[in-house]
Amino acid sequence: MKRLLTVTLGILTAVGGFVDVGDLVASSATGARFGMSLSWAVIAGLLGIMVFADMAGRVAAVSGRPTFDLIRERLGPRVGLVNLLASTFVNFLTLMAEVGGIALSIELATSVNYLLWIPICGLLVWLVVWHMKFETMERVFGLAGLTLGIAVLAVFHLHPHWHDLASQATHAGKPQKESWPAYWYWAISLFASAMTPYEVFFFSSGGVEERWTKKNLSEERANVFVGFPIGALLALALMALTAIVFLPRETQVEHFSQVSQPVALALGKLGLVVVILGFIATTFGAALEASLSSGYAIAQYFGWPWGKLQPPRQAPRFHMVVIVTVVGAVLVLWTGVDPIKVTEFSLIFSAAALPLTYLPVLAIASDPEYMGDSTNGRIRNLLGTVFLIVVSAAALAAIPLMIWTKGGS
Amino acid sequence: MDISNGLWYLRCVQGGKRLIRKLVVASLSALPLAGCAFVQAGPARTDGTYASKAAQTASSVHSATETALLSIDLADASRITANALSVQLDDVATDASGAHQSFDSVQPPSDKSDALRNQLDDLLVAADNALSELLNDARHHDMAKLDKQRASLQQLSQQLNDLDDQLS
Repeated sequence: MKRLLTVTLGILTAVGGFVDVGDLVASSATGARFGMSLSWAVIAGLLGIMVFADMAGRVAAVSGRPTFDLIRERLGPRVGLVNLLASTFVNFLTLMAEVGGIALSIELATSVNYLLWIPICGLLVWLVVWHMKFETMERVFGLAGLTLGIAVLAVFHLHPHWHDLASQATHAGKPQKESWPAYWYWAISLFASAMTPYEVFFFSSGGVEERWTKKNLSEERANVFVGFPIGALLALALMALTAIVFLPRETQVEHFSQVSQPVALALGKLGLVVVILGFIATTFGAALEASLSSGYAIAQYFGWPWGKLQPPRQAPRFHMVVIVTVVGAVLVLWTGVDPIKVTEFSLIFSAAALPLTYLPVLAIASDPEYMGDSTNGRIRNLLGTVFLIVVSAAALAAIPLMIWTKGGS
Repeated sequence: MDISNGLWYLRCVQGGKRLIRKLVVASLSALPLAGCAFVQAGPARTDGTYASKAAQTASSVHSATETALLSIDLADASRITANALSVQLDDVATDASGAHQSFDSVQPPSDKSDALRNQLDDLLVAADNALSELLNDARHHDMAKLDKQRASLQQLSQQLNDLDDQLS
């Protein structure tokens, strides 16, 4: 019974943890502009993250070491360094986006300018990382993120034309006013929002923090194969909401405040309060994961003691990296840079860095020297290779498309 | 080619080191360009370019007015908190004013474009004023005034949409 409860809690946590500011922004913006026609990109991203998160989790459970630790050892310090630089840059952008997302959500609740909330949010993120136990932190924010499930309820309350939504989802076309480059730009953003590198670092390092062994593989698989798909359903619900409310009005979604409007329209003030809580929980949870991921990546590369289970005195450099990253994110955001633009920027740079994260994961998960009898089989390797090709194509196209479409406009 | 062997991927990584290096250098070189990607303003040398910028501005401000209309509907039905309403209207007022300023910074290349500028500018000024007034009413919790603005804002939104369709 206790084990079932643990697995269920893990799944629920994974659901809440799947959605972050990238999903909130990309799903809502694309729903308003392209309807459900880009839902395939969410599905593709979901399948990709499932394939690679399963590998990273298995590596952690079997070897007892996180992926980044093995990347440096197996691929050498130079390739490891390239990987580290790209991941640190993307993690930093993601952290900025998440902290900005928390501040914008609180602004929506209080109408006090988000810039005033940014240092407070940064301080809270650091306090939680410093004081809260790993498992408690993961459970509290993962479960609180489930309040975003209200988006699914709101879709039903709006009584949409299901046939229209299904038709948009099954016909991968674009509205007449939109261009194909913009369509592909947003497809890559959506794909990257599901496959953000920090998710794999956190999943893999978190497995080590929770002392996963081979016995935990079923728990790991339940998180990945049940929790993540339900998380993706929330992202699709957000897309459906803006497709129902904003697409007929030819209105673009460029603000956090707009993301909440369809829920308020469907469920009133109570729905609005719950969805704002969902925004805060998911962005806060993701900010914790992104800040810890920066610490994990750097400490594991240099071989420093790391982890939340280690008291700060025993892992001072790990905690210092987390603090410096959070302070850096707060300072850059305080210059007034638009958090929504930072989110869009972070998604595209994530896409460009994806092969650097996922190729080493595939290399190690298919290496019998590390994995023994849990090495990738042919099907897993085939899936991994197919997704690696997709990820590489997305990486090559991401930045040129961003420049061509002027950030997807 | 044995993709079931980890060494195959390892060789891929090692064989691709030069490629990875080139890609990293290319990505870093693209950073300044990427920074420019979000800058909407820029010179318009032809009537076509100017009309395209005008269409983009009309679309952006139309989007702001439609969002404001939705906010009015929500306020009217008591489905939104005063704080959220104020934030939503602040966001759209800032958007409209930003799009207006950005458009005004582009010089029309000919008399034809100048006429288009005057036509759109009238609508942009009206939208700016209407959205600022809405924001003011929302901050004073004056729901009756908020509702009174609906008809004029709807008309403005329609005009902006028509102009956008005409120019696109």
